[in-house]
This record gives sequence, C-alpha cells and structure tokens, in this order.
Amino acid sequence: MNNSFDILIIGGGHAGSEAAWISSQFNLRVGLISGPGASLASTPCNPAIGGVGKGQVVREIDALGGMMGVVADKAGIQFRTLNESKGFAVQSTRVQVDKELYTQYAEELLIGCTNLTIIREMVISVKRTALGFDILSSGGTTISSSRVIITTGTFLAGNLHTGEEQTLGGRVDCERSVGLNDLLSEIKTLPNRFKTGTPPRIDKKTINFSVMDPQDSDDSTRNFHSLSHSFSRTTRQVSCYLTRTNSETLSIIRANKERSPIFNGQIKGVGPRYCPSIEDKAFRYTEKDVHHVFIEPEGLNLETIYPNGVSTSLPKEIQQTFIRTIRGLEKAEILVHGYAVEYDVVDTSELSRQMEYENIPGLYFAGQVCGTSGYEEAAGQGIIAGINASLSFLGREPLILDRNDSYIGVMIEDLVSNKRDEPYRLFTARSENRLYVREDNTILRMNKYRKHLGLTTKLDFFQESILEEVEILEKLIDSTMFYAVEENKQHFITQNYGNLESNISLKELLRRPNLNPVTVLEKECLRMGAIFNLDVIRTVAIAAKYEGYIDRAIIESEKINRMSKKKINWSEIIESKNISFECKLRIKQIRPETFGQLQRIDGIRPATLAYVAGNLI
Amino acid sequence: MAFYTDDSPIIACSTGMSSNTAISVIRLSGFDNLFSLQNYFSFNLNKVTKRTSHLSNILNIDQVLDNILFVFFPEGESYTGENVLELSVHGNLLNVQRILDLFTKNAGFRSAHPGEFTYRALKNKKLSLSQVEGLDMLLNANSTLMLSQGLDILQGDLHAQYLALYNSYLSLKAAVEISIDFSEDVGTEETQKLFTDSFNNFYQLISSLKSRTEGNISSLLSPEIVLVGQTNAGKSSLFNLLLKHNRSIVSDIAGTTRDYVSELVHIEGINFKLVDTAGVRESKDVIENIGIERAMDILSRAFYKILIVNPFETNADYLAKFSQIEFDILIISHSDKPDFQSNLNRIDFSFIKTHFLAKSSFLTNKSGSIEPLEIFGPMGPALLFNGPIEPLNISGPIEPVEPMSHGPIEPLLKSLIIKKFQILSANNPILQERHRAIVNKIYLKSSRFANDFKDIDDAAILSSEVNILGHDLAELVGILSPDDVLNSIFSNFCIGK
Repeated sequence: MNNSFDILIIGGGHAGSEAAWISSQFNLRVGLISGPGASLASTPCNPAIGGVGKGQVVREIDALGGMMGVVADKAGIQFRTLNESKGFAVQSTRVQVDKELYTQYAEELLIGCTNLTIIREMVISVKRTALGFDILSSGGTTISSSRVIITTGTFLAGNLHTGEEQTLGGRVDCERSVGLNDLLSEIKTLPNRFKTGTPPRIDKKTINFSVMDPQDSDDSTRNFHSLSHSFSRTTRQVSCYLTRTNSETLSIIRANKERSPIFNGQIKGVGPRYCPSIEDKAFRYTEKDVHHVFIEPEGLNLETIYPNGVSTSLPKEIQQTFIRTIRGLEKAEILVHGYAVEYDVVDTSELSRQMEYENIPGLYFAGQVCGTSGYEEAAGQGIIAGINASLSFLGREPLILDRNDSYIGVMIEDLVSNKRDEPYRLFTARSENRLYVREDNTILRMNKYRKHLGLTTKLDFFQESILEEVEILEKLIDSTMFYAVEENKQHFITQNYGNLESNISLKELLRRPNLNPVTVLEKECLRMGAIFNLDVIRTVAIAAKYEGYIDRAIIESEKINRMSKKKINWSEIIESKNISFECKLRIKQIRPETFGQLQRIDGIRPATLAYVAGNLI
Repeated sequence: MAFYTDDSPIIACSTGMSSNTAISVIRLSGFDNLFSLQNYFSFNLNKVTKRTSHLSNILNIDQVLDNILFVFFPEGESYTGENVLELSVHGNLLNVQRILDLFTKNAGFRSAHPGEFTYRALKNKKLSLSQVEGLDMLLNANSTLMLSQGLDILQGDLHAQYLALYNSYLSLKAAVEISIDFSEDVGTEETQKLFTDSFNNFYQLISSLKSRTEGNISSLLSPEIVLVGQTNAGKSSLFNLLLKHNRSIVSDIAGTTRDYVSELVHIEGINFKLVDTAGVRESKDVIENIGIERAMDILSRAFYKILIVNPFETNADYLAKFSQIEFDILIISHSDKPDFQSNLNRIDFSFIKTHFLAKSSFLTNKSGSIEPLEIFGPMGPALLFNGPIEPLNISGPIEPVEPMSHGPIEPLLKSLIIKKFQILSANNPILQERHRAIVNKIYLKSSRFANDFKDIDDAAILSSEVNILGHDLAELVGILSPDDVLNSIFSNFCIGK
C-alpha cells in the first residue's frame, strides 16, 4: 500500500465521500480512510436526500461536479417537490432513497476512481510534521499526507443512549473513534457536545398501511443531476405514508420523563431545536398531542421502515409501547431501537471559508463534526473542503462561495462566523437572497464556481451551452412584442392572459400576476417555433417573474444595510472600553471583517452595534 | 460627528453657563478610575460610597478652588454607563470655568460635545434610541404635552409599545418562515392560521399606534384658536370677549404674522394663541382675496376654527371659499335683530362643514360682546359633548332646532375648546416627528399588505415583503438605525445633558 497521499480524508460519510470524489477529479493522489464496519456514504438516519433548502444544496453540489445528485437520482424510490404551491423560489426537491442502493452506487463511484485509495481502518492519531501530517492507523501503519480533511461525523468520542443503556459508538453497531483532542490536541472543540437522535426502525410486515394517507412519488419532480434526463427514473417507485401521534402516545412519553436520557440529565449534549425528538415534542409542546409521522421505506428490499417524526432515546420497552398507540402501527414490531448520540464538535469559528483550520494550515474539516446536521449540509462542506484542499495543494487560488448566490455559501459563512450552540441545519430563511437562490437557476448561479476548478468535462460543456441558451432566450423575451392588434388581443383572450390594451413585451407578459410564467413561456416558444431546453425555459420564465421583486428587495436592504459591507477593524474595536467583556470575547473569536458579519454574531448587543456604527460614520 | 470615535474622558457643566447661579452641576464621564482624580479632591476617594453625596474641597495643587458636594456613579450604574462624577459647585460662572479648566488642563478631560453624554448612554445601552428622543423632547419641550410625552418615552412606556410591535413582527416573520421551511412538519392549514393570526395581531398594534399619529400635531403643540368671518360679523367682539378674562401673562408671541391680531390666552392651564384674521381684511376685493389665502394658511394648522357669519351682511362667494375647511363651530351672530330668520334662510350654508352651530345675539357693550346664544351640537348638548369629533355637513337653510343651551357664549366656547383639546391629547398622540413618519410608513405598508397578501400565493415573495416591513420596524425600535438619524438626533442636544 502506498502510504503517502496528496489529500487524505478521514471519514467516509457524505462529507468525506464528496471530498474524496472531487479531489480525485484533480488527478491527485487521494486517500480515504474509513472505519472497517461503516459503509461509505451511508444514510443512518432519515433515508432521504434533499428537502426545503437542502434540495438547492444538492443541485449546487451537482453543478460543482459532486456525486450526491448522481447517486440520489439512481437510488431514488420516491421523488417529491416540496412547497409546490408556495412559489418557485422555495420549491425544493426531496428524494427518498433506497439506503442499500445509495451506498452501493456511492461506493461504485468512489472505487471507480483510480487515483483514490480507500483504507478500511480506524485513525488513532494525527501528528503535524514538516511536510504535513502523519496519521497513525489502528493497523499500525503511518500514512502521510500534506492535506488532511477530517469528516468524522458523530464518531468522535461518540456515546449512544437508549434509555438507561449507554454504549460507546459512532452510530448503531459502529465503533466510535477517539475524541477530537486525542486525535490532535491543538484543535479547539465546542465546550458543549452536540446530540442527535434517530427513531426506532419498524418491521414493514407489521404495519397496516391501509389506514394511513399515501404519498406517491411525483413523476414531474426533476432529477438532481443536470446531465440526466429531468424525469427519468432508474429504480422502482414506491409510496410513503402519513400517520399521526395521539394523546395516548404523548401521555406514555410524558409519564416516563425520568427515564428519558434527554430530560433526566443523562444526555448533556445539545440537540437541534428544528428536529426535536418525540420527547422534546411531548414536554415542550404540552398542549399538542397530534404530530405528523411519515412512514418511509428504507429500501426496496429492506424490511425496515423509518417512522419520521418519532426520534427517541427512551428505553426499548417504552419505545415499543408508544409506537403501538399510533394508527396503523398497532401491531408494529421494532427491528432496531431508536437512540441518541452525543459527539465532539469542532469550533468552526476557527475555520476559514475554505473549511481550513486557520491555525493548522493543511487541515480541513467538513460535515457533522462541524456541528451541522443533514447529509446535504455535510456533502456541501465536503465538496468545498475537497476543492480547497486540492486547489491549495496545486498552489491555486481558493474557492470561496458568496452567501448571496448559494446556500452552501450561506452555510459556510454562518458556520465560520459563529460559535454554534446547537446543530446547524440549512433553512431557506437563512438566506437573505431567497428569491434568487433557487433550484431552477443553479447552473447560472454556480457556473462561475465550477469554472474556477479549471476542469474540462462533459459537465463544463453542458453548463456553457445552458448559459448560452439562457442568454439567447432572455434577449428573445425582451425583444418579442405583442402589439395591441386584434389578432394578439384574441390570442390573449383564448390563452387567458388577460387584456392587451397597449403593446407589451413577452417579458412583461411573464410578469403578470396569476399567470404561471413557465407554462406561458413554453406555449409562446412553441408558437414562435423556438426550440429551447425545457429547463432553460423554466429558468428564464421564473427569473422574469421574480426580477422586479429581487431588485426591490436588494434596494430596500441596501438602503438599510448599506453599512453592512463597511469594513471594520475588529482588533481596534475590542480595545474600546465601551464594549462589554462578553461582546469583546465574541468579536475576538469571530474576527468579523465587515459590519454585516459583526451583526450576524450571536449575542452581540445592540449597544455594541450602535457603538461600531457610530465609529463608521 | 467626530466624537463618536473618541472615548476619552469628558467634562461639561450640565446646568448651563448663561448666568451666575447658586449651584452649578459639573458632570465628568469616562475616566478609568476614581483614584486617579485624588489630586483634585481633599476627600479621601478610597472612602467614597457610590451614589452617595460627599463634601470635599476642590484642589489645584495646594490651592482650594471651591467647597463642593460630589456623587460618584460607577461604570454600569451611571447615566452614560461609564464612571461618572457629578460635582455640585458654587454657580459663579468664573468659578465654574476655573473648575472645568482644572480638569481639562491637568486631568486629561476634554469638553463634551453637544449631546455627547447621551450618546454615550445610547452606546452603552443605558438608553434606547427612542428614549434619547424622549429625553430630547423632555429637555426641549415648549408645551406641557411635549413634557409629559418626553417623560413617557424616557420611562419606557412608548418604547415598550414599540417593542411589543417589534415582537409581534417577529412572530409574523416567523410564521412566514415556518410556512416555507416547516410546512411539512407543522401542516399547511396550521401555518396559514399562524400567519393570519400573527398578521392580525401586528395590524392591530400598528393601527393603534397609527391612531396616535392622526390629527394635526402641531396644532396641539402650539394650539391656535382662529376666528374667521367677514367685516362686521363680530370677530373682534368675540376676540375681546375671550381675551378679557384669559389674557396670558406672556404677551409677546414669537413668529406671529403681522397681518393678524393675536394674543395668548390661558384656558385651564393651557396656552392658546387666539388669532383674529381681522387684520388682513380690507374692503378692497383684491386685498380681501389675499387675506383669504392667508386665512386659509393659518386655518390649515389651527387647532380650533371658528367661523362667524352675520346673516345681514353675508356674501355667498365668501362662504363658498371655505368649502374645504372643517370648522369646529359656526357662530351666527345678530340673532336678536328683527328679520334674523328670514335673512338666515336666504343664505346657502351647503358648503360649510362644522361640528357645532351657535346662534348668538349681538349686543354691544363696553367690552364688546356677543351674547347670549343658543348652541346646537350634532351629538347632543354641547356641554355633554364627549367626541368622537365628526364633521357635520350643513346643507340648505338652517332649520331652527330645539335650543339645547342658553347662556353666555364665553364659558361655552371655552368648555368646547378644552373638551376638544382633552380628547385629542387623551389619545396620547406621538409627537416625535421621526416616530410619526415611521409609524405611518409601517402602517401604510401593512394596510397595502393586508389587501394583497390573500392574493400572494408565492410564499417567497410574501416573505420578501415582510422583510421589507422589518427594515422600517428596526428603525423605529432603534436597534440599528441609519446614521443620519443619529446625526439629526444628536445635533439637537446641548452640552452637558
């Protein structure tokens, strides 16, 4: 075995796989070291890729040349467009995946990379050397690499909890790794460990699906991967089902508060508020007994069903009892019990926007170890860490994503400009530019970043051609006029476009309220005999619809936030005695460069902002 | 605004330097540590109890400059949030200047800029932006109404309402975000309800704030009672009558247009400016027209508008000119003359809007008086009038109705004027112009929004609109305001406040 790499990735989850995949595209010698028991790119929790905001991330990864979209499309067994009725900007794709197939396809892709070596061992320690890092593995070998990416997920000093039972491990049936500080003592971790949880898995045969609301796969949902046909499916499609908890379910949980590790003090880690366990729901929303439970198949050939919404770390017998109170689950048998896991998290305010640990050049972090939750968030960081480690190795300029044109950019800036106090998940609400950062225009948004990689593949030529088509169609809708003549008036009436009182351009027509711009543009292109890629038509139509709103939002926020781009000198600010000690500490940790970054730091007092604002005048 | 960048210790005389007084208060803020000032005090500063008065000599080397009382407010417990010393010194201007010089020349202090103490209080979150404006109002008030509102904002009442509005806005924003990011978790119907409920709550709060910005506020700050009417209608008589018992001690009124005869009258603790537009009236038509324009101008900002009509000498064109004005009372004089009713019926009052109508006799006596009178109100007897003030449109000839009240005109008018003032100020109007402007801006946007949001099926657009609303709100609550707001606020302050 070759014991020296250009890039070495520790951890083979979504972040690690993505980092390894993209690094191998640069023709570097890449190593991926992953624990012997754990499958690569596995989906140990919810067997789904995408979701609101996350669907955008998967497409961004895809446009950068990542693997997640490719694998999710192939392993997808139920496709849906979320928020379909809520407007184009917030529509997101979510795909339920067959978890066996997902891992299988991901492993096939990675194994297919001839310059990527996969090492199935645990890492004992990481040592800094003159040339980079020496990694000591459980097999006793020393592996050296000048760039190391740590993507260990929940495995660092992982503790599993199911009721009173506590086991050491990174996830069920998986050995944990040593703590982050045992790995490399110089690394700063967050003082509070994080916690996440997963629901029990139920035997498919014991579920009465007939009393639940089915949710079928949607044929009109687009695949993630841009080079695939938009609507092709490679795997048999199945349905998910919706059922609900009731007062009986919740009263069982409430009666067992003292046996719940999150409420009796056994678990000290901080869990995500946006993804509460059923215990959290029971005790935090005492007046509410009915919660959605989505019944999701984990795979076409798997017997396990994932009941989404009842993540729990209660003792096994209580899990069994409360599960059986749910409609359709009266006879349910649990195959794998739910559990919570506590793990070490790196202090991301020590990272740069390239995901590099600032005080240890060449060391990168990505994924759940950075305090995020979600496969997509992990993969998004993984690809950026992989790209930047590779660019750095090649001596090229780093790739930094702007928060104004990508969700990955939003996420990374949020991570590195703050100390997280709970697991971080992307929401569309985290973006200030939601009307622009959409799924439909991902290629337009991401092409400049993809170009930065300097690769020339089919993807690059495809993106160029899409960009050209978009440019042509944009000119066309601007220059195509409907003159207010009888023929056009009649056309408007038959098509339900409304009245045509004076000449308007096709673009103006697309902006009319209550019209679906996409179907209008499709019809008009057809009428003109103009053949365009349907995705191009979609992008251009939606862009035309939102243009005015986006401009208005930008103007309004510029008016108020014109200061947010002003540069500040944090080292000078913390010298002032008009700022509280606590704020000084935060500023020192985060080192904000602009007023906007200062504003986004949690716990910065208005007085501090007013003070700094005053100094900027 | 250079002082924003400078945290050095500052000093100023907080009680003004315009004349010799018994006591002057000198305020020092922003020094690192009290003991560093020991050289200037005979009192052992190690023994100082915070927020307690101590007697000491002020020393310049060995020379005793003054015998003073001082109070020490430590960092975090002072007005500015910094270490503060307040010295009560003898108020001879030379003495005060000598003590100021002592600290500026020897102890590293510099003279405070106008508003600088308050700016530091804002910086250190001892005051909110709104509270600073309240303080400004309190210190610069020229009416009792401003005085009480200044205190109200300063003590946090109005500010608390702004915060309630802001919190309500946050729930509204949260509701939109939930509908986008969590509608699967929460359910579509519930997110819809959440949004509607939170919007209604927000709209209610902003509407109630908006109602506090209605009406002509300047008319409350320096209320004017304006008399209009043609020659010989009885304006001057009424003017003299109202003036007779109520002439204010203050007789010189700044800014009075020379064209008008005006005097300050004092009614139940409130100073009104009584204006007789007689001064602009001339018999020549041209001049009368100019006079009417000026009368219109003064009417537009008047607090109480009185139109007096003499039915024997009324020009229909003249009355028609007032069709845009809402009068508070229309007084028809000379009701004791024979043929009054037939002359009255001759006049077309259809242009005139008024809240009350009074018929008065015209009996000239030594003081010039029109009384007694009959008064008619749209909402029952005038004396029981308790609003709301709705305009009454008189159309056609005035039908004599059951007289509701008889008696001398002066106490009746006075009680009507006071009632109106009480009703308008009971609504607790927001006086600060910046606040009024923002509250109105938010209200307008929200009402547009109230009309539109049912039609907006695009949650992302909805959210973008809600965000835009939020920018104005942050401006009101003063969390982060555009820099020019700070500039204008602080330019209104005097040294040492």
